[in-house]
Amino acid sequence: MNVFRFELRRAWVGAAVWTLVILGLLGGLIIGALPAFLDSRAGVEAMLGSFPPAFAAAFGLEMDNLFSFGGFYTFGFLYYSLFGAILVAGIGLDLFSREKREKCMDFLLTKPRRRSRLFGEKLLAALTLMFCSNALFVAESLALYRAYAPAPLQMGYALLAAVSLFFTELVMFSIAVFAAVFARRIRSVSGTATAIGFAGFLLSALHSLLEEAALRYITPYQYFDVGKAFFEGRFETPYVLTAAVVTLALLALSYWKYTRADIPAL
Amino acid sequence: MNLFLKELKAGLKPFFFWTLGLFALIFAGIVKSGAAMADGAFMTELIGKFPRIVIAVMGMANVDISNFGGFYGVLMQYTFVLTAVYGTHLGNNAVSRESVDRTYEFLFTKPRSRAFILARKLLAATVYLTVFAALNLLFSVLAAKQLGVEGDYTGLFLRFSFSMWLVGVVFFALAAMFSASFPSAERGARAGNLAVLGTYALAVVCDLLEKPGVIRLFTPFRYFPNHELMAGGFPFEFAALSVALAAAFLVLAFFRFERRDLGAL
Amino acid sequence: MGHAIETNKLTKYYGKARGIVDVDLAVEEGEIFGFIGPNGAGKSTTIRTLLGLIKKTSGNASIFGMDCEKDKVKILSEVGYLPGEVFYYDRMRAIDLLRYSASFYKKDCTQRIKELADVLSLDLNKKIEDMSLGNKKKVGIVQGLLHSPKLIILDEPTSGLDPLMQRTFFDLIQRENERGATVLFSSHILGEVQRICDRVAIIKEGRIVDLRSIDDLRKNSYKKVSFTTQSPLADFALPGAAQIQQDGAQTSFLYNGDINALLGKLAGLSLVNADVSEPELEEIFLHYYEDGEANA
Repeated sequence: MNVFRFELRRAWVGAAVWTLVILGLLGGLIIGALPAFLDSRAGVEAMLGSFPPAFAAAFGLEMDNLFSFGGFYTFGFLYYSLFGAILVAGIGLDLFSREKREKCMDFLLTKPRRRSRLFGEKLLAALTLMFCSNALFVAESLALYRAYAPAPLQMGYALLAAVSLFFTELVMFSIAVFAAVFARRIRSVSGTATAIGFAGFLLSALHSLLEEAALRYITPYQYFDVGKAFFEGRFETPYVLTAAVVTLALLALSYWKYTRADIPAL
Repeated sequence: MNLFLKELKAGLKPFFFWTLGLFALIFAGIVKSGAAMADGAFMTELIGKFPRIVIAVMGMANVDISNFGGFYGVLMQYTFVLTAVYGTHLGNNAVSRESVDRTYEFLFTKPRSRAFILARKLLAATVYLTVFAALNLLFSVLAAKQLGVEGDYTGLFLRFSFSMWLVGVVFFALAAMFSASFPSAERGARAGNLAVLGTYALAVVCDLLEKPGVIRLFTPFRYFPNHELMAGGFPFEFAALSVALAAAFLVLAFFRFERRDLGAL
Repeated sequence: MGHAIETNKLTKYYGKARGIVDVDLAVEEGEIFGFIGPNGAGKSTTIRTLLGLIKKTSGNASIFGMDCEKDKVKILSEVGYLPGEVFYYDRMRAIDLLRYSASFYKKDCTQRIKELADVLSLDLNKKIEDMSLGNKKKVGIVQGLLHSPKLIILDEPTSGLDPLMQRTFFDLIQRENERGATVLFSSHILGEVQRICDRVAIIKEGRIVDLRSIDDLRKNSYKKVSFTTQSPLADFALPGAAQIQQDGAQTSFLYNGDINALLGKLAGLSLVNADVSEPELEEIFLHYYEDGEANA
């Protein structure tokens, strides 16, 4: 497990700082804006009253859900996803392109370890970091939920909603690992991670702008609908399947390449 | 000149990918503008009822998506972000590609000053940024024509595309400066990317406040706000500020680059 | 004694490009085996195939009787490798890297790291990226030897080391050899191979063209002879002389034969200057090249 420990030691500081940013964002939004958001309900309802009820219904606006902790939580989720994606893309790129970037593939791969084992330990280190980061995120989410939402609390649903960040991150992580293993070189981890994160963000923005159902299959931030999780305690199967297939396929391809590729001399 | 051409060639593939993203965003966005505008009046009014922070976080501050211009403005907010990230990528790469690839000894032992080399690299990057903004204009005009959007929006497209170019140039110059200043390429790149995120967050704060005042100066994302461009105006003072900032960052970049120790970073 | 390294028709193609073709090697346990050839001949390809860094196209390779692909991990725990170019992780002190390296082996290497660092006078607390090329190389040497491997593979190891340090390095390798380690030493410098190797294989354009003991090479080896006479010679001929070149009063050739015969021949001439030296590697290869032409 020396590779696991080594990778953890090298990567934990960056992951910790970035996790704090996400936690701060979540706390800041909820504590700073949730009360004002809930207060605006009367105004919105008054305005909707001036339209025919069918019209308002066509937008699928359920007032009780929208103006609740869950509604607001859902709404900030695009940003948590963006920051989470940049975090995990950074981890994936960093760990899986480390030897490539620092030109020491020879060093690691002439050690008496199977490449599958090296891949596994790196993967485990990355997942550990992601798990810790998400444990904090979930804990903070649930604590805020307890503090800000009125009884009765649906802790199970809230947990599922908070955990959806981890699932989204898994998808983005697998994309990053794939990029790290297949790219001839990674010039900048943070640059590539930011690009991956924003690509997801733009797809998501495009999806909500266009409301085009097919687009959702290539929009990782929308695979796991937080709102559905929060209010119905479930995700939509086709998208969950898509997420699972994408993640496993990318990781499997990366594994295949990592364990078989010829390592060229420098 | 050959250095300049070589830089252009090196940047072609990433440019192609970024352009693809831009193309998808604009065409898909404009294709759907009709449907979105149908409910636009309702949505705009609805959005108006939400507290500012919600609107700000949604990126819907000061917009009116009941008309094409307003919808296009929302779309452009995303292309601004795209351009900022691309500009940062260009700036980082121009300064530190050789250091990252550990081929700096080859290039920087040629009988050319560092300023000469850096100038060619930055110029090549600027060319890409300019073409990127020009393509934004072209895609917008084509998409609008293709879809039979009524009215002549060329002026609006031009203002947005020019604003986009200016935003890109500021982030590009900032990233070049960071990359030239930090001892390691990765740290320079990180600073550049954090600047994009930080200024975007600041833009949200800007939208949050009724009167952002001086904060607006610190986020290029709000130099050219939607409502001003849509109203037919163009904030020349902020255009001048962008150019001044970019120039200052570039001068600093040259200054730091000339003095730094080159090495495998 | 068994073979430390044995390859049988080992072949590697990079797509269509030749790497190595039908390489047969048999390195005895306990010997220092030289592997010599010009750049691009396939030395690194052979070594990287042995180490499992690249996959062979066909043929067989085994180390200590174990298959290089199937038993890679077992093999690698007995192998120390020093690549030609040394790059290591950034932001790391030498000692951190060496500890990380040691953590891959099931033995305590702390003492050994200290010993090796002392011998090479390497400051272990310095950051690797701040080190000179030579010092990085020393980190590489310690890294390759710290687990007292039974087989040491060196791929052009001496570049970047000053002559004094080269000597220390060769002493170190010889001591490891006396301890029982087998050494595979690739180089394009004939002199340094001759200095420490027992046997040497010569590789050219992906194929082994010759394999002989150093003693044999010495006995049989070509001398580069050149001399200047007072007046131009008409015709110069001598059994064993090849590539005779005459340019005015200057004559030069490669000589492979009885040295007394050569001196006898030269003694009959009125010389202004004479020089008998070890030929450069390129000249030896030129010779192999011409042989190849002749045989074809």
